[in-house]
Amino acid sequence: MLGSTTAVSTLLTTREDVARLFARVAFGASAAELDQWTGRPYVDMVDSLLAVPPPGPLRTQPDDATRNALYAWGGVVDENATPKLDMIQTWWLERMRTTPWPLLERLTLFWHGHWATAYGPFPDAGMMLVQNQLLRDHALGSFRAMANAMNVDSAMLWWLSGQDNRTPHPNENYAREFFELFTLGKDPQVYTEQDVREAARAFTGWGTNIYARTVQFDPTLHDNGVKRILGRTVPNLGAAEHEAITDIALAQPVAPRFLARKLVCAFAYVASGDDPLVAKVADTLRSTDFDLQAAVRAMLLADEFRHPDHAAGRQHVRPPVDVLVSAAKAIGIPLTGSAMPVVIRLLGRLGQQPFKPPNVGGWPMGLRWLTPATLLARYDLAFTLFYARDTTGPGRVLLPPSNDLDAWTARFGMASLDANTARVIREHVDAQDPSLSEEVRQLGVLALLLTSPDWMVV
Amino acid sequence: MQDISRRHFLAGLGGLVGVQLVGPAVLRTGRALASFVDPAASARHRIVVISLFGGNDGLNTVVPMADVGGANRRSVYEKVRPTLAYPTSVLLPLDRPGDAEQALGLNPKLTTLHGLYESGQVAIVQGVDYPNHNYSHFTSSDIWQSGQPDRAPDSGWLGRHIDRVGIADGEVRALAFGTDLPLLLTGERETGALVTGIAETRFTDGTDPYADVRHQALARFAGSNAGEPVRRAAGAVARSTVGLVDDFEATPVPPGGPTNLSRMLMNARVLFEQGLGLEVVFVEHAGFDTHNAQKKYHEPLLDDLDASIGAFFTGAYRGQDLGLGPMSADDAAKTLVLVYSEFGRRIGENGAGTVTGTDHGAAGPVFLIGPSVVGGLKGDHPALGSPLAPADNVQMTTDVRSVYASVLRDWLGDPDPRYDAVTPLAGLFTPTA
Repeated sequence: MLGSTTAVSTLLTTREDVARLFARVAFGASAAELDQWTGRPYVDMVDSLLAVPPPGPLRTQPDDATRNALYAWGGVVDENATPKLDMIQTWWLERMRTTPWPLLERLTLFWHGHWATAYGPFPDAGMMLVQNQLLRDHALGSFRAMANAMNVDSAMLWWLSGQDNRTPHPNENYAREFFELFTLGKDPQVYTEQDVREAARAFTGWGTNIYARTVQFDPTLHDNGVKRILGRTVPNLGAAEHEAITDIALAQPVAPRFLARKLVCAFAYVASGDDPLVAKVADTLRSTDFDLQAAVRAMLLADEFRHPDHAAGRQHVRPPVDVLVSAAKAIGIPLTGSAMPVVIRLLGRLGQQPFKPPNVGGWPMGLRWLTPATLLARYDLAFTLFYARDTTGPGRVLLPPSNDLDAWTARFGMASLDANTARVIREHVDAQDPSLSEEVRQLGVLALLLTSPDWMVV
Repeated sequence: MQDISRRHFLAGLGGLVGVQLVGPAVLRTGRALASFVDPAASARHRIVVISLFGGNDGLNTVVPMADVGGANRRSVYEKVRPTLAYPTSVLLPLDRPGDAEQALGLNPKLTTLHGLYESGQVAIVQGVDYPNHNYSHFTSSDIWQSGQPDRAPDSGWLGRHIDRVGIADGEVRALAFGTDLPLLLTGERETGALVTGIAETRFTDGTDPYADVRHQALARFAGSNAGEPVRRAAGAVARSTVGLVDDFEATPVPPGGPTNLSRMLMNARVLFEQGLGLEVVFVEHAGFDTHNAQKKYHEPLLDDLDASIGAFFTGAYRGQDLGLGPMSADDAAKTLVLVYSEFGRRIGENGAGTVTGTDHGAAGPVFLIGPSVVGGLKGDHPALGSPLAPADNVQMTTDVRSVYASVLRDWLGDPDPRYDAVTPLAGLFTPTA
C-alpha cells in the first residue's frame, strides 16, 4: 500500500540511523528509542513513525480540548476575550513536545512554513488554529486536497487578500503566491504574468465571516468569464473553480519536483533541482497523485536520506522550533509554564515563531540558521530551560552527572559526538574550580551541548 | 593568521565554498584586536541601506501633482486611483530649481525627508528598475540586492565590495540587523555580520571566571575535525560569535527607539562611533505589500521611515529625544542612507472602498539621503500613459546598476569590475565628499 521498499531499507538500523531520523522528523529520540530501534529493520522504524491514525476520532489527543476552547470564542470580536498569539503558540509547542505522533506535528510545522500565514490580529488566533488543523489533517494525506483546503481557508483568505479579491478589479495576491510559492516555484518559472492575472480572476468571490467562523462564496463577486490559465481554458465553475486551478497547477511537470525539493531541503539537506533524492520523491508524488505519506516514506527510506557515510551525511540544520521542542522534550520541561513568555521571545531572536512567519515566503532553511544572532539566542535558551526545570516538585528533573558525557548524549538523542565536541565539553567540566557546585557544571554541559555543531547539524 | 577570520560569517550555500579547516581557536581577545583596527578606518564613508520590503508604492511616495509638459501623469493617476489618489492639497511639493517641470510632491507623511530635500540633502532617483522585471518579492529582492539582473544572484553588490576591500581582524566592517543574513552582504569570500542588536550581542551568563570558561569552550567548537562541511560551519560560527561579543563588549546599548526601525538605526549610530571600522549597514523595514487596505497600512510605514531617518541624524524621533543627541557634522558628512524597495506597485488600484490596494508593480524611486548628497530629482518621473490608455506599470527610466556603480565608485571609492560596462549615474555626491 505504501509503495515498495528499497534494498537499503531492509538493512538493520544503527544507532546513528535512529538519532538522525528522529532528530529530523520527530523532535529527537529518547535514550529508550535509541536502544529500542538499534539493530532492527530500518523500514520498521520508519513505518512506526508513519503509523499515525487517520484524521478523526482515532486521532483524538487530550489537548484537543484546550485548542477547541481557544477557537470557540462564540463570534465576539472583543480584543480582551480573544485568544492571543502567545496562547496558541504555547498550545502548539506543548503539543509538539507531548504528541504520540511527533512526525505528524513536525510535518504540520513544515506545511505551516510552506503555506506561510501569519497571525494578524487578523487572521486571528481562531483562524490560525483552524488552518493549523487543516494542515495537520492533510499532512499525511493528499497535497491536492490540502491545496484545495488552503485556497478557501479563512486565515489564508485574510492573509493573502482572497476575501478582497472580487470582480471587476481582482486582487492578485493569492494567485501569484499560489503559483510561485505553493505549487510551481520559479525554477524554472512556467507561468506568466498573464497566468497570474487570469488565475486571480478565477479565485474571485470568496469571503470570510469572522462572527460565524465560516467562509462563503458569493457568485455576484465572482468573475463569470472564461479564463485561460497555463494553456488551459477554464469555464465559469463558480465555487468549484479554485479546484480547477489546483488541478491545472498540479498537472504541470514542475509541480512534483518543486514540492519534492522543498521536502528534501526541509528534512534532509539543501538540494539542487536535479538532486537524485528530489527525483525519487517527485516520482512518488507523480505516481501516487500527490500522496504525501507515500512521498515522505520514499524520502525517509532513500539511500540519500540515510547517507551510509554518516560524516558526509550530516547536513540538516535544525530549525529553531525543532531545537526548542527537542531540547524541552529531552530535558523534560513542559512548554506551558511561566517561562513561556521568555521562551517565545527567544524564538523571536532565533528567527522562528510558530504562527508568525516573517513573510509569505516562510522561514529560511539550512545554513541560514547558523548565525551569531541565532547562536547567542540558542545559548540563552539553554539557560532559560535549565532554570525552568522542576527541581523539587513531582515533575522533578534529574540531569546526568556533569562528568558522564555518554549519559548526556543518550538523553539528547545523539548517537555520538565529534571528538572535538566531546573534548571541549569534557575539558570545560575539568577546567572548573573543584569547589564549584555540580549544578553549575551541569549548566555548562547543557549550554555547550545545545550550542554544539553536533546538536544543530543532524 | 592562516585560518579564517572571525568575521567570515557563513550563510547560504555560497558560504560553504570558503570554509577551511581552522587552526587553534582564537580566545576572547577582542579588546586587544579592536586596537588593531586601522585608525584610518574611521574616515571611511558609510552607507546604510534600508529595504522597504514588500514592494513600496512609489507612485504614492513621489506623487504627480499636475499634468506638465505634455505628460498627463496627474490625470492618469486620478483616473486609475479613484480611492488611493492623494489630493494635491496634502502633498509636500518638490520645488527646488528645475522641479517645476515635473510637478511632483512627496507623501504627506514624509515631512522630514521633505525638509532635507528642500535643503539639498536628498536625491530622488526616479523610475529605478532593471531589465526584464520580475514580479516576485523574493526574486526581485535578490536582483536588487545582487545588482546583477543578467546572472544568478550569487552575491550582493555590497558583499562583493567587502570581498574587494577585505575585513581586517577585529573589524566589523559590514553588519545587518535581524535573524537572516541578507544576500546584499554576502560576498563570494566574505560576508557581513548579523546581530539582533547590541543588547543581544552579549553573554547573559556574565563575565565571571565560570562563564568565561564556557565562552572559551564555545569558541573551541571551531576546532572540529568532523569531515563534513555543515558541522564545521556551525563550529566556525560559534567562534565568530564569541569574537563578535568581544568586539561589542565596550559598545554601550543605546536607549533605543519607539519602533523596530528606529531602534536598529540608533544601534547603527552607536556602532559607527565605536571605531570598529563599520562601513556598511543593512536594515529591513517590512510590511509594504499593500495588496489590500493600502490607505490603512501604507502611511504608518512611511511615517516610521521618515521619523526613523530623522532620528538617525538628529537624535529625536518626531520630537522624542532618544538620548544620543544629533549626529556630528563630521559623521553626517561621511554618512549616506539609501532607501529602495524590490518593486513599486501597479499604477491602477484593485478592489473598491476601504479594501482597495495595489498589486505587484515595477519601477520605483530610490532615495539617497545625507549632507554629502547632491540633492534634487535625478531623471524624469516615468510616463503613466494617457487617461484613455493608462499604462499598467511604472516603466524603468534608470537602471539600478547605474546607481550602484555611482555609489561604489564615487562614494565608497571601490568600483565593481562587473559594472565596467555600466555608466555610473553622475552628480549624486558633492565633489568634496
